[in-house]
Amino acid sequence: MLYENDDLAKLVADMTGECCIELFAAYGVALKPCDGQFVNTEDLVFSGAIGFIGADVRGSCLLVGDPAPIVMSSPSGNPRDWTGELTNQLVGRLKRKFLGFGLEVQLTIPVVLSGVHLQPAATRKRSPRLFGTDTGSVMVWVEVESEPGFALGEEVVDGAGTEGDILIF
Amino acid sequence: MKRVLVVDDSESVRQQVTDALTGAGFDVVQAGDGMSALMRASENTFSAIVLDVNMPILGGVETLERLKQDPKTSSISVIMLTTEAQRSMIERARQSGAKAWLIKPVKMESLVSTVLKIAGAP
Repeated sequence: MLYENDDLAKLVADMTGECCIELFAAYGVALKPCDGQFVNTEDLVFSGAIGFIGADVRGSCLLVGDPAPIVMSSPSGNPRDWTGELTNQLVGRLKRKFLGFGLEVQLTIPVVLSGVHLQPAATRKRSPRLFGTDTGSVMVWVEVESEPGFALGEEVVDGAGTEGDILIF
Repeated sequence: MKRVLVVDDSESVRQQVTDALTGAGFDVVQAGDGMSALMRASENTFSAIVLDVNMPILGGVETLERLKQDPKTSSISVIMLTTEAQRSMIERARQSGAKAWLIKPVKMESLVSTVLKIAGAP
């Protein structure tokens, strides 16, 4: 039976936060970690979610953003579609970090939802990672469950590629 | 003019890649999933396919394998463009006949130069 492990959840949340900063930086948007809650207004926000599953672990990741940072990072004019791709690339980065610890996971296809007042229910122990920009906020939330006794191993050199790599066969 | 098929479930990525390849002189056709890609590939002549991996209906690696099994499409050069970096998956694609594996995000100039290297000038 899978259950929530606080140490693993914090580690994965930290990794996801790092991935989010790196991802937006790759598209020219600087995110600054900040405290507090995602400020909900009556304005539309965009969110994308992807699940991941491995031998002893499973979880899901949610990315929520105000329109401005989503649009600023986008090469096209469709923020809803781009939110799905950003979520895909966010969890792709997380997957590569997992590979560095010898953990292989499979990903689901991203699901996108736009709306107002979108907010995961923070628990007493954990809350979403919030980032600020000059024009709006971005939030990531990850939930992870594992088999009893599961822990990420020592970081290893996996040989997996990284963002921007081009492998010609 | 050489024709390239761009396959990605993200419209944003498809358009970004299409703009870059069109700017380089290629004729570009789009598909949003693996099954649509197989249909397009069998209906037209393509010099190269730029293929995402994590897609609905039919994933990119499975699409690659089907393309290579079909005599009508087996000679098309396939370039994988994906967030995936798992060695076993890259090796599976290489053994199935992919010509290159690009890990997103990739600069569009790099993507175009890879397509030029593999498919030749438009």
